[in-house]
Amino acid sequence: MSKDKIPLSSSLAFRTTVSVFVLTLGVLSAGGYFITSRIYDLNFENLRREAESAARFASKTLARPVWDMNQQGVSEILKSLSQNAVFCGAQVMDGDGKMFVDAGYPLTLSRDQSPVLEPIMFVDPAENANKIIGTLQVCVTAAPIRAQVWSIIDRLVISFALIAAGVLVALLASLRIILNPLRRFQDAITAFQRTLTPITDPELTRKNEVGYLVKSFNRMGTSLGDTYRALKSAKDEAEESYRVKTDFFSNMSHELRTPLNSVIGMTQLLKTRPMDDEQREMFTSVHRSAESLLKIVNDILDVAKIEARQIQLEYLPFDAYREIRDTVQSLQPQAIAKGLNLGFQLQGDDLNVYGDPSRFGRILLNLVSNAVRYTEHGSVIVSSKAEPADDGRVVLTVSVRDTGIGIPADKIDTIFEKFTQADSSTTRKYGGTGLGLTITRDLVEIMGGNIGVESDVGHGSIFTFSIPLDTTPKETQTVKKDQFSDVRPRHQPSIQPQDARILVAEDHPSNQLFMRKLLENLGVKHFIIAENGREALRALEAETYDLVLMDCHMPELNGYDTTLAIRDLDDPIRRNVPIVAMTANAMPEDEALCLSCGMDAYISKPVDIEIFKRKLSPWIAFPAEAGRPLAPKADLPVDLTNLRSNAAGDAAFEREMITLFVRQSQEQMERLESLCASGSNEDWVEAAHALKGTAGSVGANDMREACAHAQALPGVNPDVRRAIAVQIRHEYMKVYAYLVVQGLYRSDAL
Amino acid sequence: MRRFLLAALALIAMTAPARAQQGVVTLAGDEWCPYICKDAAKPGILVDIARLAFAKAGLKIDVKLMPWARAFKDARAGKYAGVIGVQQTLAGDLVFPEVAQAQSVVTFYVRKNSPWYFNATSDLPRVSLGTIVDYSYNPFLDDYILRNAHDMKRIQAVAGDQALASNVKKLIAGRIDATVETAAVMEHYLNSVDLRKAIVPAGRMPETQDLFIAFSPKDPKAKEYADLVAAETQQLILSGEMNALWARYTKAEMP
Repeated sequence: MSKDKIPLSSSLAFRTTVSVFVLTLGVLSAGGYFITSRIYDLNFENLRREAESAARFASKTLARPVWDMNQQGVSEILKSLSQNAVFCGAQVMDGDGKMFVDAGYPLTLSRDQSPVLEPIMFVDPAENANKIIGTLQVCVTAAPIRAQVWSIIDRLVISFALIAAGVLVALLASLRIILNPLRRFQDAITAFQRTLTPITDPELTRKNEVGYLVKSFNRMGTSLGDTYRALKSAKDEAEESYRVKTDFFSNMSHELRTPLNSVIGMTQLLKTRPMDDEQREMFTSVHRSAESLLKIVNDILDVAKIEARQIQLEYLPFDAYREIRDTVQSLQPQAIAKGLNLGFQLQGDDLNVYGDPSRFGRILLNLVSNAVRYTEHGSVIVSSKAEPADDGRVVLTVSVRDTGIGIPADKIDTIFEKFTQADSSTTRKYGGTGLGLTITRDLVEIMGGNIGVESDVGHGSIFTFSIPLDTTPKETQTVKKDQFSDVRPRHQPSIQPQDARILVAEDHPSNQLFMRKLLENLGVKHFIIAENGREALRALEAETYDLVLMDCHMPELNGYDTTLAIRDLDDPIRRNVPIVAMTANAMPEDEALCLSCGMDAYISKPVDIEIFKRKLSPWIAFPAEAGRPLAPKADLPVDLTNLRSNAAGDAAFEREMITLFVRQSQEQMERLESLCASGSNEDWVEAAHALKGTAGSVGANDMREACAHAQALPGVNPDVRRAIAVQIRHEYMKVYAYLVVQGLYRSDAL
Repeated sequence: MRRFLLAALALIAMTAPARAQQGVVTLAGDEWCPYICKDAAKPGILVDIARLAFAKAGLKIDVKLMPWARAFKDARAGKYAGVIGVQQTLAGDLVFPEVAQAQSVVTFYVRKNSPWYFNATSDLPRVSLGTIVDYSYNPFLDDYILRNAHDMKRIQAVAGDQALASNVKKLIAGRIDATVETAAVMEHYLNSVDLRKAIVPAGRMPETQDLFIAFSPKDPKAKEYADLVAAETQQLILSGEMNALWARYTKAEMP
């Protein structure tokens, strides 16, 4: 047990001793000063009185010798006067003030000396009158008194020293009486911290002040100990339940994503098969439900990740304005479908910054899609401006203004909370998990920004967020990929899919089916599926592969251990085979775990075909997709640039958009054509407007212009309407043909 | 005349034999220039006489100066061989030479221009007279002083070694109107302080008094010494050397 070392200056014992000692000395000194100064004053007064009386007496004795002008006699009297130690000399002046006799009277008086003057009177016999015949001047010195006082001071100092020493000894003795139990108490408290049992030291439990203090401490300690134990068990329980929750999310991630993976994967594959309209409609519904389910799962996982502070921001260069444009354009179809005017106002053409573009896009998408969802009529406008901040960064402020249902004032504070919508009935009407705004707010805050909302019920809302972004890259950002690049030089993607030999380690039958279909679709001819890690290792021993697709959770030997085993093989070719993780575990630490085991890349399930192709692109050269940005070509009937950028590599989304375009175009053209003969002006304009939006959603610009032409020609006769409708259909057919030719749309109707 | 401690007259001296150094005779006296002086070169008329007298017998003298009363008393007691300048009248038991060695005249002195003059004792009450404590002048004057000792308008007696000087100063300062002193002594003093013109004589006592070198009755050679001194005195007077001796010390007329 280490006793706390108390600095001398703050020790109570030291401070008490010093203060009492100083106080004692102070009182003694003051007393001493008072006594000695009083003695000095009294003695000096006595001295003066004595001197005056001696001088008066002398002056009487001197009268006759002075009258007789007997200098010898005077001198003798003065000499005898000077014998007295209180005199420092004497002199007699005659009646004219001339020196008569001088007996050592000093020329100048020092501080200790003072003069006493006494007139010398004598009765002049001739005049029979008492008159002054001279003056006796005596010098009185305080030197003897001073010496006396000093001797008193000497004795006082000795006495005071003895008294102070006595006080010191008494003080130390009494302090020991108090401080010893305190020190014992301190030791006992230290022991208490270990044992949490009451103090039982008999020295400390006597019936005195310390005893009662210890008694109180024991009471408090017992109560604190109970509270501590209760709190600790509560804390342990909370931690345990938190761990259970985290595990639950993790498991749910895996459990939900595995079947979803196969549902979505299968629908993606199914989409290319011929179907009749009814099947197509049912299929689309299944596909859309699966996608919504995935979105909900993803939202829940995102919230879990953000709350567990497990989110890691990327740091990449990107054009923030382009993200805004792309987001707005990606939502055009929904806006058009609802007849909303969705637009943006940007301060300039581009804003090149560094940050996490996908999270930024996610924030935008959430806000804009919410705005579109909750707005029935009017417009949704996204405006943005960038202002330089003090630290050399820029603060990007984005406002999303809608003319929607608005948020009541009493709900505005909780709008960002989990599972909260302004009105629970809203969920039923507009859909959504209620997590979007929570994620949005959390992402904004993680990016160092803030978000707020202003709203007017029935008139609309304005969501505004600001985030700081770098305009020049930070030095510290490093990408921790390619840990094994020193041993495995990165392959150039020289292997064609048909030549590639791929080993798939996957235990789940539906996932196996999905992988099989996926690889076949991508043109991979040589692949083998292993049921688990052990089988995968055996397969790898038998043959060499260009790539391993590794599921992480497998029976017998999981993906991580399998990877470690592969990286431990003797054969350098086998040892250095690229391994790509495929797992439904979507937590960031899962990716880190995969990479730290020696895997080269990580693909989260459900697998998106485009992401799959991109992740595998370092090793296998899959057919190049239409790259981004795609230079718009004047002679093409459709400019897919915006759509592609909105899809951000999400082929499913792209296809869905195209499918939606085809379906909606057909419906809306039929309606427009039906209105040619007898439709009202308003209906014609509305139908043309709706079709224009549909055309715009995929960048079918010629078709869009034709629609705009139709919309701008109200009140024309049916023949003109028909001609325009024919032109629109003509433009649509060009687009449709292009999409089919490019393999972007397949229909069994064709 | 001569001075006496009056109270001491009744005292009988203690027995203390003179322990004279071999060949040296120790004599006591007080300073009373020109009779006995401090000056070693001119030690005084009486001292010169004694030195000459004892030299005839092959003896040296050693003169001790001290207050008069002390000299007189100790000489009588035998502490000294003799005492210089004593009057025969009041010192009966001392051994005196048959011839007096000198004479003195008691004289009054006043400030110049003072109208007072002593003719008779009845003149005395008109002045404040400065005297010297314990001095004896003349039976009549001593009686007058004794009777008026507490009347400072008549008698102001001063004490101490400087008593003569004090009286002169008081006379000049007007604190007294007259003082009294042996003429030779006053003349000698006034000359030495250059006050001859300010202070003038104003009458004298009618009689002249003899002064002796007298010897202790306790000294066995007292008679022998007295005879030596008497013989020398006679010889000096007869040879006229006494006048020359006197003139060496004072311009005053030898009484």
